[in-house]
Amino acid sequence: MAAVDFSYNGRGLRAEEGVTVAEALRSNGIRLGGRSMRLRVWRDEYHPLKEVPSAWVSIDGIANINAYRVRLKGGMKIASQTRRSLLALIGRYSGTGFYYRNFTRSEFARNFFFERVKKVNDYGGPNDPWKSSPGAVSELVFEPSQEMAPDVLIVGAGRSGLAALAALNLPEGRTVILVDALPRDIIEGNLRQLVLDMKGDAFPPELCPAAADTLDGLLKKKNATLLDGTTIFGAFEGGEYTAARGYSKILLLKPSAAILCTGSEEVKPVFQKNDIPGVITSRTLLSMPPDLFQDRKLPVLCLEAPLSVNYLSRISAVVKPTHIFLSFNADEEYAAQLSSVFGIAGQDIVSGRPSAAYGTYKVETLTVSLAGGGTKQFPTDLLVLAGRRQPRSELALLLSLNSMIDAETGMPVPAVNGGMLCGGDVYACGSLVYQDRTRSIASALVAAESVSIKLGMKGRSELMPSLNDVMTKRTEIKELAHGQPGGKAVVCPCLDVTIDDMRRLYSEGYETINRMRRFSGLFMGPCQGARCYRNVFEEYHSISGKQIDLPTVRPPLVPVYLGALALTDIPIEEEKK
Amino acid sequence: MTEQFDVAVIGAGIYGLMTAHRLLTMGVRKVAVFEMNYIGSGQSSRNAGGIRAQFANPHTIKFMVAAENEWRSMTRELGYNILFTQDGYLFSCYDDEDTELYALHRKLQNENGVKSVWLEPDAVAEHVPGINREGLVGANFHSLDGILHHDAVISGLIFSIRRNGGKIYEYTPVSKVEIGHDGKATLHTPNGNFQADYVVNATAAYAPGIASGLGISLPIKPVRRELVVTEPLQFFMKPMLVSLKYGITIHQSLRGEFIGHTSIAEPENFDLKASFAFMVKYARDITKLLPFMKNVRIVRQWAGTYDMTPDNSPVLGPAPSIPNFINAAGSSGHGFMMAPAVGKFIAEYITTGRVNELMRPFSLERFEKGEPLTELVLSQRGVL
Repeated sequence: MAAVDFSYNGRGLRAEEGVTVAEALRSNGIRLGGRSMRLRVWRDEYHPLKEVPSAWVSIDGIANINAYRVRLKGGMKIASQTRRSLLALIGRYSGTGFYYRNFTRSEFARNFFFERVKKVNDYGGPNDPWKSSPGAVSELVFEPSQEMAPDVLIVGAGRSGLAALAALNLPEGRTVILVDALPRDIIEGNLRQLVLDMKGDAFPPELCPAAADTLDGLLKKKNATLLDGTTIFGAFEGGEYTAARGYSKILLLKPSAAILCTGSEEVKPVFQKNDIPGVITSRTLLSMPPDLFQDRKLPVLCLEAPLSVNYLSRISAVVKPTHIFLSFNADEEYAAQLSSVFGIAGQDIVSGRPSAAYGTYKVETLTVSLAGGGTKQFPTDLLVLAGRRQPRSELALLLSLNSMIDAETGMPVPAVNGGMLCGGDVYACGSLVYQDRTRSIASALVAAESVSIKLGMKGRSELMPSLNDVMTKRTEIKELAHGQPGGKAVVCPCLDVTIDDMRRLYSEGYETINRMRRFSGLFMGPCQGARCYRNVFEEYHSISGKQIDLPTVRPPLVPVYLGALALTDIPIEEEKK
Repeated sequence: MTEQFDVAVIGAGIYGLMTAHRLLTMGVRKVAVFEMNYIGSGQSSRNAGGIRAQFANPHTIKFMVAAENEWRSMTRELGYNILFTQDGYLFSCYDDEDTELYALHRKLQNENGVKSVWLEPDAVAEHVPGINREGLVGANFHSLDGILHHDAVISGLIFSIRRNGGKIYEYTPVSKVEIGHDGKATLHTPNGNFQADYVVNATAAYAPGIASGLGISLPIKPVRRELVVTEPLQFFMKPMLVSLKYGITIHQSLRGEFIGHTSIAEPENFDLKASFAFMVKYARDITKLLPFMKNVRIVRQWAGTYDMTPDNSPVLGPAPSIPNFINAAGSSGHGFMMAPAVGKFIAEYITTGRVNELMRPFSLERFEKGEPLTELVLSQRGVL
């Protein structure tokens, strides 16, 4: 592709034609994503959304164009929509919740800042980009919605989701849909890992996918369709599961039974609280352009679970860690695999759980509490966290499910709320219910069995594993201590609320979590609480000594384009006049 | 012994808190507010914060002029910035609508002290860049209408009430109110009984349940309403935009998000679940009114409960037979904007015994007398 000239805020720049505007800017050292005005840092590497809100630019005088969605053409005049210096200055001296904090101090302060924010944005001025038509340039093309009514819907194609698929024993002609947000090649890796895991845990071979099974083969055998790159964003009363396929299309899924194996985002609470640049999850790492991490000299990788070799290879294509820290007891074979994938010596693979990360505006050192006892510090400039998952997903919260699988017996218990909400029977299992690998797979098998019986097949109780049996056959994972985060640690990464902020708000009289939330914006950023609520609750509990309920989860679970929603074909009852 | 109060306010929403705040600043010393959930847990934490005087009934218009004046000084009064900006409400008018109605509304509003004006399409596009200009005839606009931040108001009121010695009991539902032979009211709660000289029933859609124990029938029913918020864009749209044609009410917050509502058939109960039909209807309507919105993502949708009366106006003032039982409920979606005047007039009634002339038309008796405060068209079409 040919290099072309364009300009950014009047500066002449050069980049390849056809890449996105964001990529073109980044190749010139200009970053758009997730700038934190308060912490004065760029957070694109670990922002919850790849296309973060601050990615809006104006192009050729037309404002509010998403730089991640528009491709570069020669001669484009690109301008940022927020002048950095003044906003950074305001942000620097403001506390929790940038706008709220300043503006609630006094009316004078609010007007003073507001007028200036308007001024730096050229609002109403001669260069006001809104004088022309706003946001008219877009390469987004939306498609009409599609309705699908499979017999079984499996949400999540990780280990548990694939285990459920392999164990399904449905009558002829029944259909299955498997939904996952990640691309197909990761799901293929998950299948390979599942085969190894189930073999290692001595599950009955009849219930396991065969070593020779490819993803395509398994899907064909089960009459299943894989929708990769698809995210469930809602489950609505009397309706269906709604999903977004990419950005452009809404799917309406109406299954007669659903198995939730969502597991949710990888997060590591300790580090999330220390959310400083250079600490990212593996999923975010893989969703960003690899060249972003080229300058990191001392990357380290923290593995919370034995991830598939395929997945690890993808990480190794982006970074070559100097050390790997394992929070589980790996066998020699796995350690050898790690060593060969990343090309590092065995003594640099350390058993120990990372307990804290420090640095000013970027990560500098990592503290690890070692498996044998004691702690040790390691220098680093990029910390990749992989394998830790939240035990409950937002989808389950939206469905008002708590535990759908009995924790003792591994048997599903009937849904009260969830089942009514979505029409079909809902079985929640996998790491959604169990953080433990073996129990996750076992619960998925039990759920698949229940669905098969429901759809008219004879049960296979003689094959169903006894959880006790499989659990005794594997080695116990040793629990390691977590470190305590400092007060400057960020609790809510979207709105930069720190632990100190929460303490101060509490002492200023914002005593309940609701008042604190409404003042500071906790839970109310682009991630809608998905990344922060566990931290917030933990910190609130340690500050106040009070226990609080889980927050109400609101749809959409991921941001959805209005253009795609507008093309959704459902009947709507008009308001009575 | 049961605790005694001068005034017991039931419901820590905007009406209840505003009344308690006004009573305390007027010198009433023992004021308590009882809330079944957390403070502001109902509509007061769920609304869009719009303040307008562009109504279509003379009594409501006059009441709202008084309320807007109160809002203007509220930041100073509370010592807490409520983020009130007076950038106007803009009612867009399209050629397939009843365009004469807009002139009728303007005339009525002008006669009652609201200087609403007519804007030509070019002027409308100045206020709302990107509005669909196909068939756009113009708009009614009143520059003193505005937007405030509801959470800031509630926080400010909580601090003011505490500072002045008032008490707020959270998670304390009042199950029953009794009026004794001495005229004193007894409030029954799970945390014990409380006595008060006056009771203010500010419990929105729960008000009929409390009033019925005293033989008072309030014509109020709950209706679900929903709102949607988008990711933040550069701030550019100052006024609250209302389109009767598309059923849309929308504004841009200081942080840049668009917060909007559309009209759709909603269940008449306390259900607070968000519906997919609303999400889709909103997307369809808003992409017609503001076409650029198709490239914007929504991040959150939530629901609240309106407390609707037959004429879409609140019931304010003492109950006909019980002068120390005062209702302030049934605001039908515009309670927040009326609140400072409601609080002031009720506190005035409790301290002086006089019912303010502006509040008198909102009495419960209006339904028996056949003098409803019906709006000409606005509220029927689902405008907030």
